[in-house]
Amino acid sequence: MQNPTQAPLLELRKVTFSYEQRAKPVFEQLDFSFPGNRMGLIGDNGSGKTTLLHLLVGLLKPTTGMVYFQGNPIQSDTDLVQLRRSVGMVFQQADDQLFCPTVLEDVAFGPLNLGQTSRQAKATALEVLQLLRMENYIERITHTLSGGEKRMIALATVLAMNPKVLLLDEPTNDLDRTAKNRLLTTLQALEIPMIIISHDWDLLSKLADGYVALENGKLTFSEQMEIHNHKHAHPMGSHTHEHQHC
Amino acid sequence: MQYSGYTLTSGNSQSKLLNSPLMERVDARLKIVTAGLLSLVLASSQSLSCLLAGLILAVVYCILGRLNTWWVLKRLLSLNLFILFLWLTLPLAKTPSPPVITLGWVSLYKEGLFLAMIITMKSNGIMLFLMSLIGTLSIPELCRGLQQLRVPSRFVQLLGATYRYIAVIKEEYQRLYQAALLRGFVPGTNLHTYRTYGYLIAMTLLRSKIRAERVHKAMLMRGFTGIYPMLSPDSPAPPGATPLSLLLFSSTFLLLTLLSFFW
Ligand SMILES: Nc1ncnc2c1ncn2[C@@H]1O[C@H](COP(=O)(O)OP(=O)(O)OP(=O)(O)O)[C@@H](O)[C@H]1O
Ligand SMILES: [Mg+2]
Repeated sequence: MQNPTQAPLLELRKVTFSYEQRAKPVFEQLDFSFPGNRMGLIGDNGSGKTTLLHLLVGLLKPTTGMVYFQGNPIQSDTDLVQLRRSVGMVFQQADDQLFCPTVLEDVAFGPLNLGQTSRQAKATALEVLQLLRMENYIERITHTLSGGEKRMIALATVLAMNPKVLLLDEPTNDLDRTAKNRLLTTLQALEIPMIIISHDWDLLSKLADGYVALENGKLTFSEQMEIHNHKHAHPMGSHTHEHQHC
Repeated sequence: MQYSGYTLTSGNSQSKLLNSPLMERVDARLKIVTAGLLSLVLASSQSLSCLLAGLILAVVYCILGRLNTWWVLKRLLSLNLFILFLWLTLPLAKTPSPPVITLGWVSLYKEGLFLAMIITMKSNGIMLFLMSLIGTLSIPELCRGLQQLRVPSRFVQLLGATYRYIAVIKEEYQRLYQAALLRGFVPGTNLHTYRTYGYLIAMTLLRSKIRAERVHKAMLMRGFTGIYPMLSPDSPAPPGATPLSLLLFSSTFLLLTLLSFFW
């Protein structure tokens, strides 16, 4: 969309998808292209946001239609492996994203798969954890982490693979304000294109530079955030604040 | 919530077993192979002297491994409860030789008694060896060792995933159960109770399956192609410990093998 001569980073062409054969398709003949900015993806519960992300990385297979990565169609298994190594995804259920016993092993899992040696993978893991200021968690057992901690570690596991694109599925769910701000600063500092699913307007207004709204299986793009009504609680009382988008 | 029951040793096996150079800080592969060989010898031997020596040595191994006595006894108790059934049934089997004792209408036969005793000695010996050798490994160490021994990756993954998720599954079941309790469920001996338990178990299984699918997706996204990569340990076994343990392990194996063949 931004640059017509350059192929979009990720693209869906005429994708139809339904979870079950007879069920009403979630998407019909959907076209989507991600130029490589920081795109917010919004939509109601059950509108298909998660499904869209999973289609983009081949975790779900379109019934008809094609997925493109940097202009190349994803056809073979090697294409898929390549695509997934380049795309980092933080899942909606971060809990299931941490499958190794300890944090260190989990963060090192990706780098090891990319062919790093044990020593390199450990160094990478430590580096990423330091970036997120989570290095104190390195020895922790993953399933005893709190929800917010799991999400930060999940982000670390993804960043450790040095992804070309980040797909974040509601990344600030169950984060407190401090953790959310830390995540926001971290993400703002990263020079990686990303798609962010979120219901958190505050996060989106600070992070995203374009929006896609998903409704009834159709996408609406907008370069700027639309004016919208919203309510939010002000935990610090009646301090003044600005909204960039109004 | 308690997470006991997902490591073989209670609590943190690494910290509990410090200062035990013969059993701890021994290469996992060596322990696994030793445990396998010793179990094999005990399982196949019919010689009383071999079984007795095995039992004594297994106890010695447990002492060397600084295993928690209560923990060991608890495990042995559950094993022997099972074996009790053999003692209650095997001696009753009729054999050509006359019965050893006849109590009223019950007769006990020598072959059955002997068999029950042999089985008891074997299984206790093997159990103690396994506890002292395998039980002193953490699960990640065990997985790594198995993988290095070229055990099929599928099996190692299964072990690793069980270790990681068994507590989660248990927690999920308990959450469902508590939700039922909070909505006024009182277990009794009626159809409603059985049906509710059925739902709870089915729901736990279903959720585990869905969770497994999500985990698999997450693994794929991190470049997983079927081989589970593992970090090598920071501190390999210190020099000196391994030759000594090797000596201990191999002499145990030799002694038991000799006994089983010649006495
Ligand atoms: N495994 C599945 N099997 C069948 N239907 C599914 C499955 N997963 C999702 N759906 C259905 O597909 C539709 C889109 O689901 P999806 O999870 O993509 O929504 P979402 O926009 O991510 O919602 P949320 O904001 O709640 O995360 C929903 O109607 C949902 O019921
Ligand atoms: Mg979703």
